[in-house]
Amino acid sequence: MDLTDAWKNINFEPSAPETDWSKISENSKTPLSKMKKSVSYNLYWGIVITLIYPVLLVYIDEWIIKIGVVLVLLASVMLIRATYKLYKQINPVINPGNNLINELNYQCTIIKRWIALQQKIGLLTYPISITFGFLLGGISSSNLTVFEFLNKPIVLISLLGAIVILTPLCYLLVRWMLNVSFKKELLGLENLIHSVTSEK
Amino acid sequence: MNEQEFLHNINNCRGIINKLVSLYATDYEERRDYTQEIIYQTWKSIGSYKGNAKFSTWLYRLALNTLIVLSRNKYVVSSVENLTDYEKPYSTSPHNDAEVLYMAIKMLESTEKAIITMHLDGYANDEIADYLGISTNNLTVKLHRVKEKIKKICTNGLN
Repeated sequence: MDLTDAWKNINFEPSAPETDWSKISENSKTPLSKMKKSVSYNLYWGIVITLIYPVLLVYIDEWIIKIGVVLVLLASVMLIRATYKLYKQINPVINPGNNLINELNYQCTIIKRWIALQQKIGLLTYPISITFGFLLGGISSSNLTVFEFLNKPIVLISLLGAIVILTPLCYLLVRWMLNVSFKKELLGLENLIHSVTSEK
Repeated sequence: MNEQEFLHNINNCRGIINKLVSLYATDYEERRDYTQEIIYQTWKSIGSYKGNAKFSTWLYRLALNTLIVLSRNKYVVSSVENLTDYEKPYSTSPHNDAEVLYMAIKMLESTEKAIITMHLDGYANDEIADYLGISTNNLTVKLHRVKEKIKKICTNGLN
């Protein structure tokens, strides 16, 4: 069979659908569009949660807990900034002017870097959040100052226990959420990159 | 490019879109969705079209990018019996070389389809390699394998 001749004789037109212009919407189904959407949800909820911290600062009297809230607030702002930057960088359209692999590699790399950053910042902030959340709960229910509350050995042991148990739990929960949002699409793109570049 | 010019250009390139989409889509719904996705992606990225190449060439690459990425996880059919009715636009038993080739290409993997389609549409090996981002040597090997695969499907797979 002569492939070129056969190719010229293929009729691609039968049953081609009419374009429904009204249905051409922003609901793109490409993996990069889906990941951009997930990043936008992450950004939205990040901003909503971060806005709670300044309100907390107004209602909290204990300066030591205020320091904890400020630390978590700063970490959240840093993450929001990184998330916004990622949102702007993800381009759902693979620019036909560049080569496919470079474009896909770039998009996969920036998303994976952001996921790693989320996890690293999380590991630093979870113990702080747990400690100051624990103290806030403790002093509110006992009507003691932070130092009076921390004087009891059982409190220190409980705090240590909470940090040891909840930090990995929070880390795993966030990792699971990031996997649900990004892993399937990222793996699909990485497999595609592999299938294009593989010399086997 | 304003909206009128865009619609005019898209209508002129409907043949390219129909051809590429028909090779990647498995049913009518998918064909419609892929077509709309390509038009949407074209509209979104029209600002990056500088006019250095023909609009049809630029659209061809954009459409292939979109289709490769959209169909990245799709199954690869192993026999013509596994094609849906919609994927058999002629008949269950192809009559001529064109029908056999069409069905054989439909049974390839996403990137294999892109390689053979560009090759048959007259793109040189270095152009296809540059488009994909791989070496020309690697592309030549892949193209040879794709042709072998088509030959094998044509002799065995369609029975």
